[in-house]
Amino acid sequence: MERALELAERALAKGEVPVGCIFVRGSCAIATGANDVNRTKNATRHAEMDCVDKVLKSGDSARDCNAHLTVEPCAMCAAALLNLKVERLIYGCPNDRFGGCGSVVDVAALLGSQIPIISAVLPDRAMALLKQFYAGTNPNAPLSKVKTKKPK
Amino acid sequence: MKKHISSSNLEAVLEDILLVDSLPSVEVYAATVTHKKRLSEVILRLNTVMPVPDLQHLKRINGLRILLCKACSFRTGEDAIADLAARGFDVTSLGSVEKVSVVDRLPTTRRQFEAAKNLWPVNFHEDKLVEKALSYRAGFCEEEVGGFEKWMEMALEAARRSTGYKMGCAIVDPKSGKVISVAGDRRGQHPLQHSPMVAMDLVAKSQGGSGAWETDQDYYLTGNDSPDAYLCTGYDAYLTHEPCVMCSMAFVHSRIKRVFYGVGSPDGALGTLTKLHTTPALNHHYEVYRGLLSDECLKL
Repeated sequence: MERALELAERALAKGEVPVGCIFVRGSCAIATGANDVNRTKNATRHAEMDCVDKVLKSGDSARDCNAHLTVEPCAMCAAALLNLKVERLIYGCPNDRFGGCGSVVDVAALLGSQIPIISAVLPDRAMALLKQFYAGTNPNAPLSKVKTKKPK
Repeated sequence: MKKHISSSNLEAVLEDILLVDSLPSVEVYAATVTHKKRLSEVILRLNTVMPVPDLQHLKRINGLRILLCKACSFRTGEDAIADLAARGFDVTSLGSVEKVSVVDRLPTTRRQFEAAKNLWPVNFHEDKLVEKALSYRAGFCEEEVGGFEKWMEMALEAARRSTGYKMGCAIVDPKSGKVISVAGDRRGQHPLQHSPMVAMDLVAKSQGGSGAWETDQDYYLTGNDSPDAYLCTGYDAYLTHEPCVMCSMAFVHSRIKRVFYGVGSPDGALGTLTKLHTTPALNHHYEVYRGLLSDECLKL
C-alpha cells in the first residue's frame, strides 16, 4: 500500500486524480497503474483500468492477484476487478462520490461476488491526497451550465 | 415512398418509485371542526401548537376535518386531544376524532396523485418530463423512434461483425446528427473490451485524445475536437444489449445523455440487476430507454 500511495502522489504532481493502484501476486508486484484520464481524454481511464491493461499486455491476467488501491474503486472498476477474479481487493479510504464497495453502490452484492474486500488500509494518507486534489477544481471540466430537470 | 413502421416497444427505464401505482400509506388522527366559521383560526393555531413537519405533503384540511398528527404519536385519539388541551389549544372547537389512512409522501406521478387524493387532499407538482417518460413509447413519436432505430441499426451491424460476443454500440451526437463512434464487442482480445467501453475510447480519440486501446476495425469521427466537445456530453449511446455494471458506470463517468438498448442482459445494470442511472449519490445522471429494435437484437 505504501507503493500505491507513492503512485498516487506522483499522479497528483502531474495534475491527475491522486489514486494509486498496484497488483501483487504472492510477494511480487506485477503491475502498477495511474489515472490517465486527461492524456487519453477517456474518463474511464482510472488507475485500476490502466493496471489491468498493463497486466494483460504482459501476457498475464489479473486472476489471483491482490489488487491494492489507495481509494475505494468506483462501481466501474469494482465490477471490472471482481469480474476478472482478483484474489482480494484491498483499499485505503472510502470514495463517497463513486465508491463501488458500498459507499455509493455495492457491486459485490449486485454480482453475488464472494471475493474478499479489505478496506481502511492507511486511509488517512490516501484521503489527504484526495483532499489536496479536490481543493482545486478540475481544470478539464467545462463551466457548468444551468441544469434542467430530467426524469431519471 | 413507403412509410417506415416502427417495430420498437420503446419504454423508459425509470426509478422504481415512479412506477408505483399507489404510494405507501400511514395512519393519522383527524378531528371534525365544530364551527365552520372558526376553521381558519383553528388551522393557524394547530400549525403553531402541533406542527406536522413530516406530513407537509398533505393539506391540513379535508372538508370539515382537520389533520392532527400521525397516529403513532398517541395511543388513542382522545390522548391526542388531551395533549392539545395541555398545550393550551381550545379543544371545544374540535368534535369527534378518527383514524385516517393517508399517503406517506408527496406523489411523484399523476397516477399516484389520483390515488392519493382519494384518501386525503395532497400536494402535487406535476413533472411533465416524468409524465412523458411514463406514457406510451416513452412519449416519443413514430418519427423520433424511426430515427433512433436508424442509429440502432449501426450498433446491430457492429454486433454482427464483432469478434467477441455479438453485441454492439454506437455513440451519436443528436444535435449534429453525426455518428461519433461505433464498436463491436472485443472480449476475444481483451476481457474488458465490451462494445460500450471500446466506443467510449473511440469518442476520446475523435476528440484528439490518445485513447487507451488499439482497435482498428471500428469507426470514429475524425476532427470532432471542437472546444465544446467534452467526453460524451450531449451524446446518445445505442446498445444492442443492456450494459453491465462496469459499462453503465463508465457512461456516468463519460457524461452520456441518453442510453438506448435493445434487450436486457442477465448482468445488466440499467434495469436488470439494478438501475444504476437512478442512484441519487452519483454526480451525473442519464436517461435510459429499452426495447429499441429488440427483435433484431434478440436474433444476434
